[in-house]
Amino acid sequence: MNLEPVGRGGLSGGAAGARTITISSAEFLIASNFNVNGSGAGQADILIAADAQASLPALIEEVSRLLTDDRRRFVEDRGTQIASAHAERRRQAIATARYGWDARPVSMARVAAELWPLIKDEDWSFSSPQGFIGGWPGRLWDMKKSYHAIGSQGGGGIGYSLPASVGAALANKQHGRITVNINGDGDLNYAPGALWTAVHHQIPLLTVVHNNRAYHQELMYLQQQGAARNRGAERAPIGTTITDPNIDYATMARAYGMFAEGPIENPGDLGPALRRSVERIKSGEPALIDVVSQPR
Amino acid sequence: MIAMTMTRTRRTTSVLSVAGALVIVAGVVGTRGGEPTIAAQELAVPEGDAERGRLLFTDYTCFGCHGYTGETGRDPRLNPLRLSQDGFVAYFRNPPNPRRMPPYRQADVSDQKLVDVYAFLRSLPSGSPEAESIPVLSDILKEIR
Repeated sequence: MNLEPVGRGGLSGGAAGARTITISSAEFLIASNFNVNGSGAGQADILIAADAQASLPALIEEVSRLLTDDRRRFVEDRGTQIASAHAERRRQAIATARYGWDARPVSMARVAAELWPLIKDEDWSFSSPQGFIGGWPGRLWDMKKSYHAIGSQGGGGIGYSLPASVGAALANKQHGRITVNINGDGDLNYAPGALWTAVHHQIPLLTVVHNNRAYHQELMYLQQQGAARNRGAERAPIGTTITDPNIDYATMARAYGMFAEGPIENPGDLGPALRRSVERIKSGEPALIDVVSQPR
Repeated sequence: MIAMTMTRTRRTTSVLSVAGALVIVAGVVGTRGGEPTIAAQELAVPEGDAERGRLLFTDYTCFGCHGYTGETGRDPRLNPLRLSQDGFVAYFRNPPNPRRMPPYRQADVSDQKLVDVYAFLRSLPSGSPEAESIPVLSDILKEIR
């Protein structure tokens, strides 16, 4: 048996000849207007529509009961190897995170590194995608629980992070858990009304705005395409940058009644501002910090 | 690093009579044995202007992949810059991975502009602190040990 998550990229394969069973709540979205299973639809031998978090403990217990001593040693050895590889990758990430530590705009590695000591002893959840922020939370933080990395948007669009994070934080609230969202600035502008929802319902969500003042994915893509097609790259910023005027996200959040600080441009101001905002969310209210940041 | 991936197979140099001018070798990169190689042609350009290069670094959105100080971002660090000036120009004209870093033609970005950007990158202060000297990173290291 090969137990695999199903995502937009489909199944990742597994041992040759293995039968595949999936357990996922994504199957409940089968009637939605996007293909939640991507290219992997129908590849599993059995697709079980269920809550994986609720289902897995019983499954793990049953599998453990059936393990022979040899297989148990094999699983333990593999766990040791994975833990070692993870520690090594974390060490490598730390060695990279130091670059541009004092740079202005603030590096995204520093944002993640400064956040970690403030949340690591709490029951915490990270709610937003990591692809546009250099993957730094996953690289630097010790993510052990399913809700430590909730995931990404199903459709690849923008405007996901804030409303998804408000929803995640609402679900986390009943467990006394705080939620952190590192939100792209372009993304934040699509549904800022969710800020009001967070305030209205007093949802403990910290939103750190990754304010690179651009739809940066598009900016890089247009530059690459302009050069590749001999059109020059000078016009890539047209329609992809969010400047003139710069948006003041802290003022925007305050307009919705939320505690907010920023724009933070001095990396030395980042840690204290994050500390104050984490104290706010620990007291049960949402907060937003606007950080003028490096592109990635 | 980028510089290490290039094998210079042929390089011609010449002495220019124009005072203050530099000779750079702009390249045409081919492939031999799977490694990018540079065939040389001679171009003469004045010295680079770091301030002009700083503006070009922004206008051409180089910062997008390399960060504003050449230290952050998803693509190779440019600070400290390990390429020679001629290697830098050659890389722009014929990068080994055009899907990642597209080639830039002379008509789009002149040699002079590239030399200006090179001067800017060379002018950047280099010296990110060691991870052990940054408390929050040092603490994470202790968690791992």
